[in-house]
Amino acid sequence: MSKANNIASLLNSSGLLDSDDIATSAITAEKLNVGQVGGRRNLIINGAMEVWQRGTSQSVSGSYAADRFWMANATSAARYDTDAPSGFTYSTKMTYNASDMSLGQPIELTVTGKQGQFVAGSVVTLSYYAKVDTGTEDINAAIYFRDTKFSATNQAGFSGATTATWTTTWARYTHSFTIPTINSTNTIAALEIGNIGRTAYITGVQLELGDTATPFEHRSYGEELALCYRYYQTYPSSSATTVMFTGIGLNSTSVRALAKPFGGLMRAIPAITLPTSTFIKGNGSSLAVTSVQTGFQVGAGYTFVFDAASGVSTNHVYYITGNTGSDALELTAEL
Amino acid sequence: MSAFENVKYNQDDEGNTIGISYTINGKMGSAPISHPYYQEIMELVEAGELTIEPAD
Repeated sequence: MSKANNIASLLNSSGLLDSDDIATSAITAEKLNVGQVGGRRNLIINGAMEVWQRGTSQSVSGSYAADRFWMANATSAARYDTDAPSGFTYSTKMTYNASDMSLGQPIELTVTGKQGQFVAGSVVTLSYYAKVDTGTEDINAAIYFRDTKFSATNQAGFSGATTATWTTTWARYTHSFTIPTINSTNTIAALEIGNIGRTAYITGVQLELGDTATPFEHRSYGEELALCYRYYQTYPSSSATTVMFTGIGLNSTSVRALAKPFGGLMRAIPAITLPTSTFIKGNGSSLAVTSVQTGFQVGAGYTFVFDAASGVSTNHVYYITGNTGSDALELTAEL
Repeated sequence: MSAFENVKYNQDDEGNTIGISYTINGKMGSAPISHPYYQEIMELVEAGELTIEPAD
């Protein structure tokens, strides 16, 4: 049948398009998933487990593993793994240790207490690929509007099919949820996949509006990394002369330095964590940092005050550095 | 036992509390009052597991 005949078949006796035919058969979500028209569906960042700024193997409990994905409920370990289903390069391997594990992602809401794209009464669909190393595992998937990711205070749960049974074969699992009315203090939509009681692998995590799980939306590594920078950035200090920030002496013990994150402004003024050894250098001095104070936002960057015991000269220029082989400086604005 | 040690309030030039500095797992750091670390520290203070020094 020609395309002209196909189109003609959609016209009713008045020569108008029959919307029922379009809705029920001619156009499906699967067909729309081509090119730009099908893009920007996945509300999850780093769903393919490609970005690991904190390192690719970690012991985690209540903290982040792959970027944007936290793990909880156990003294478990998470690492990136090349065991992945067709169409993916990496997965997160969660190594079981004594108690059930959870993995999740806090999705930032545009405004506290506002539904935004999560319209009450409409449906979202979660999909992911998973498997376990032995046997089968009954897991539970859930989404909540929450104030913070680990607090049930003021939470509003999404309703829907929450259970699945993972096996030793990679498979795609889907869960559709109906969106509740948000509470005025909620800041996130918290995705949780829990009750994981054995070593497991997961990747291809996608959450999208609507009741259909469309194919996973692959974004470039650069795009995913840029999205992750909003919440976490790290400054490696590979030598004792690596200039992380530059600043100026305020008085005999303090330097105010400007951090201009290479990934742009973050979600909020970040917490800063220094390398184990951090120094104020310049003007012929090398001074051990004794504390760092809360930052301020200044234009497209942040200023932090670094303190030393003594030896800083007012209005002289200094730089902040770590040490050879030292760990990284971290800026964290996670939810 | 709390992972936070040497906890001290931070103030701006007008004397307003803007955050907190600390040592966590042997590393120095600081966080603004909006950050989850600040809330975590306050919960430890309320539980009597941690005290905070006043700002300099």
